[in-house]
Amino acid sequence: MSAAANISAVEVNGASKIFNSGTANQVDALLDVNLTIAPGEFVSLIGPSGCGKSTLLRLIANLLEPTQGEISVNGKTSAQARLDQDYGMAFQQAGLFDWRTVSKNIELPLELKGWDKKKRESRAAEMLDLVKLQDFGNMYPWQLSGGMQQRVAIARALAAHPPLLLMDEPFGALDEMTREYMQGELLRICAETSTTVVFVTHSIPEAVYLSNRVVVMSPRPGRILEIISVNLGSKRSELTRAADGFFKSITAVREALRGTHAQHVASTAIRGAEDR
Amino acid sequence: MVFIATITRRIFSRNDNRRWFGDSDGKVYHRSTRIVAVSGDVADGSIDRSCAIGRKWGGKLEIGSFVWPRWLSASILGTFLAFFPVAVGTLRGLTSSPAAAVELMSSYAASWRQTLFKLRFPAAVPFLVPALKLGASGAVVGVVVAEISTGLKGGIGRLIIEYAREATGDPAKVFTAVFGAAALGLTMSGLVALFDSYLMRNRPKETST
Repeated sequence: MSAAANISAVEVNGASKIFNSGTANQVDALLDVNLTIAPGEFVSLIGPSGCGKSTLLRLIANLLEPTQGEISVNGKTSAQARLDQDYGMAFQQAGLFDWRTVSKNIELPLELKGWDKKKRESRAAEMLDLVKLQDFGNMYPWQLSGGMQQRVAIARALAAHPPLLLMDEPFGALDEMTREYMQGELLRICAETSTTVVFVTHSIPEAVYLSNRVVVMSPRPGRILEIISVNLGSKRSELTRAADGFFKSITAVREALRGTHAQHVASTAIRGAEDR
Repeated sequence: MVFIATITRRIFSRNDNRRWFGDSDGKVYHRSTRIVAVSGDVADGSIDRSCAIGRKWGGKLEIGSFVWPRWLSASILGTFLAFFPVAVGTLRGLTSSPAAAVELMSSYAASWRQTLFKLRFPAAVPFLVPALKLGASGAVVGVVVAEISTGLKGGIGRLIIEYAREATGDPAKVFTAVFGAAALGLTMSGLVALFDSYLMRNRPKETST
């Protein structure tokens, strides 16, 4: 469905984002970020709180405009990509609509696109199969567990078969067991649909287990510190979690993050001294 | 000094600046017609009826060809008391949609209208229902009070006045009207509650009121 393979799924060129520019509470959320993501790739953004990873995701989604720089999605401007629904999005809170059944929730993006009822229903059934919730189509979101709700949210995000999936800590509110199960499910779903994913997370093992590349970011102003490639092969299973390469990558990401942490502490310490 | 003098004159001449006049027949005139009316009085001893825009004090008004029905005052007061709880509740409801849901809709490039109908209205329902309950009982209060003060025939308010006059002979009688008003109020909020349980039938039970 997407264009030629040589068009990158996401391209971020020198993007900066400054909130409240020119006022006393100016925040430099992102500074000169460059990132290219190939189609079919799984990329995680990781970093301490306030490092602008969610901001970067919202820039790609065109929910925010960059102060500087350019962002293209699928070879279009990010604004055009949003209008064309070239991406689906999932947040930490599943954000399902209480007044709609599970099926109707999945149909929401299709309704907004103006699909007819029959086509919507067959697609919703297909998506329910994909996330293994066939029997829950007529239930209401509040009757499902947190993990199931999050699976419905993923189904909704993928309902229009977008080539790109943007996820903002989607498993952050789940318990560890459900989380690991959901990670496996996400990898399976992405492999089946060959979707490109940009995934924001706080968890190092999660980032390493899921990703082809992990983007390590530093706070204030948010910058890309290091991009770490994870070589765990395309087929990953529970065994991957015990593999040597898994731990090596975790250590690499942790060291990259420590570096930022040490710098951050040092810079605040110096600033503190100056203040005195 | 000039300023104070102007103010003083304003205050003392206020009577002459009245917009509306009533005469002993209960007719109401606008300021602009007074000269005509007075000159009519002087000319042939009668008042020029074509200039009168109202007939009587106390709920009888004519505006052009529209004759103000007596029940309209009562229903306007009822509407007035119901309006603010409902308006405030609806506004609160419409702005209550979670930020994440609004963001989701904009990520789908949903139009303003689509966001309104698919997100804001359904999300407003839990706020609207308690507002309607307040509004329904408020409307009953408004109508009864208006009926008491205008003496509208056939209403509970009128019954309260009439039975209150007989209170020395039959003190219990006035309470029948009062309880009738209470029953009407309860019926109204009961109807809203039924409507509520219909609208909220598929929602999580914690948020329903």
